[in-house]
Amino acid sequence: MSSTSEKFLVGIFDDEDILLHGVEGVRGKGVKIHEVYSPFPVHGLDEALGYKRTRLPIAAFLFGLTGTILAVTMQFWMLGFDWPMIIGGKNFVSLPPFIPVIFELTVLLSALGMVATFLIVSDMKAL
Amino acid sequence: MQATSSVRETLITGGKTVRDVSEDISRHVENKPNRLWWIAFGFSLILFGFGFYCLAALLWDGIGLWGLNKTVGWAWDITNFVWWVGIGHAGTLISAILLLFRQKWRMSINRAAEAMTIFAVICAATFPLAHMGRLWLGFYWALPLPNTWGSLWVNFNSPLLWDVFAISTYFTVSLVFWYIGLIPDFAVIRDRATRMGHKTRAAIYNALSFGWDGAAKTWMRYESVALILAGLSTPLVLSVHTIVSFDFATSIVPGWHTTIFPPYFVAGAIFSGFAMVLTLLIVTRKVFKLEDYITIYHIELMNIIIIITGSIVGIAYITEFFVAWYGMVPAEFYAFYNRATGPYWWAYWSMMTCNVISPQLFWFKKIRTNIAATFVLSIIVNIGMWFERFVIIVTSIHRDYLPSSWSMFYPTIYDMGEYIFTFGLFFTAFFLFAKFFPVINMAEVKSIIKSSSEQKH
Repeated sequence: MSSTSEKFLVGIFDDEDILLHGVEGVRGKGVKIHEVYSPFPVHGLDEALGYKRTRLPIAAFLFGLTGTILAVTMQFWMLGFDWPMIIGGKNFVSLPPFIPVIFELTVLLSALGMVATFLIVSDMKAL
Repeated sequence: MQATSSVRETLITGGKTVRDVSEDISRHVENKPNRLWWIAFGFSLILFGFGFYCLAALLWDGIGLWGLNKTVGWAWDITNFVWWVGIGHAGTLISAILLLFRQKWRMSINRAAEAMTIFAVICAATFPLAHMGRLWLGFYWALPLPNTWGSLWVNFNSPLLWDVFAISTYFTVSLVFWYIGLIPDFAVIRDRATRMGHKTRAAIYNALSFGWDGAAKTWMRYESVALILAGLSTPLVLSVHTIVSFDFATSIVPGWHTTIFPPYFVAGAIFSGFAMVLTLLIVTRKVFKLEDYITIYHIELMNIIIIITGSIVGIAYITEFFVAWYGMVPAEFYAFYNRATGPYWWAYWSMMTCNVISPQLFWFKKIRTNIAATFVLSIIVNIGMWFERFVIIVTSIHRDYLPSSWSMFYPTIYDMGEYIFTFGLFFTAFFLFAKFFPVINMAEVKSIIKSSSEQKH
């Protein structure tokens, strides 16, 4: 505590709508809200508290893009350059049969990367 | 802003408060399981044990123990694989697609359905793994790993390899989605355990919840993560059975080589998945007394999805037959004619009865709101869906172009044993889940308790 003149108020609410109006009212009077805890997501609370929108969608997109690039380079390099093989008389490299793996790796990296980012930025750890 | 509709029925009955939700759901985690749970769990362990013996014998002696022969090289193994993967489609469909469509009735059923998805996908994976014979080398055959063959990589042109990527991605993303949903509920159990003075339980559930605090900013991020995971899972869930159907559709075997397969397989997967969700939830709501959370209305809505997907499947069967005749390819027509009238006619007509005729009974409101009828029909649907895969796989290959190699498939005790193994695995895992994890998503149910329950304001 830097100063003894600082005052802390703790409020407990048993209804999410009263909480939401309370938050709006208190912030309107210029009081800084330290934190709001709730047992379930309260819609509109993030706007009432003036939080900026999360940038997790950007993280999801970038991780997804990494997955796409990884899948494309992996398949082209392995079957096109490292060990070209004739399979069913087809080209060494062609895009259509590579699409399923490209799609799956995009989704996989996007999901895992975004969730890992979420756990890290929210400071969540198992122990 | 919450709007209460007078048209829609309430989702949570019994005048529950937020506190009641925590109490009703956490109770099953905190109390010792009842006798019924032990009996069911013991029975699944017996199935698991017997199946494990058959699986071990299979790994020891090789897949010659199965009833496969030169003509029928794929039978129960792939049938069971596709069947389990199909069942595994309902969970993520409920949690992802119904989330995007803002269907609030998903909230009472998504947790159990997703758990079922994860266990079903594990069961499915055991079949291709066992079929590899030398399972311990399977990683090199299935994944692009550097190896000592110079490096001879996997074949990215093969639908079987697409399956590896599709199933493993689906499993991982479903598991992550499910776990993210569990985090706030684990925190509820942790907080209750702290208050009751159970130190060990509090520590375990605190670790499982990653120290969740429920701060407003965390909830905001959490909801964003759930929405994006739903957006990613929606094409994913549709891609998985599409790719499974490619195993057949990209071949040139008459009866398999059809472009209708991807949508027809996806519809069939949702159909069987919802049937399995109903089978499990009707039992779970009874054993855990969750009638106020999983109401007749929930069951009715799931039955409506069964009518829709069952009818899509029925139309697909008829279309397939029509195109086989209209296409004028003799081999293709024979494959279908043989299905309906050949030595496997009984399998074909079991499939037609269970999948096309039986779900039509749900047009009657009396039947789709009747629990006993729903339970019986949900099992019949899954019997039908098993026959569907058996019919597609075995009848298409048992009589190929050369009549001298025509053959029949007869399962051995090891074919049955591995199927029993997956049942043991599935139910053992599900009962453990029901005991140690909250079976209903408490946080989501609490968020609708004001707008969609009989609570007095």
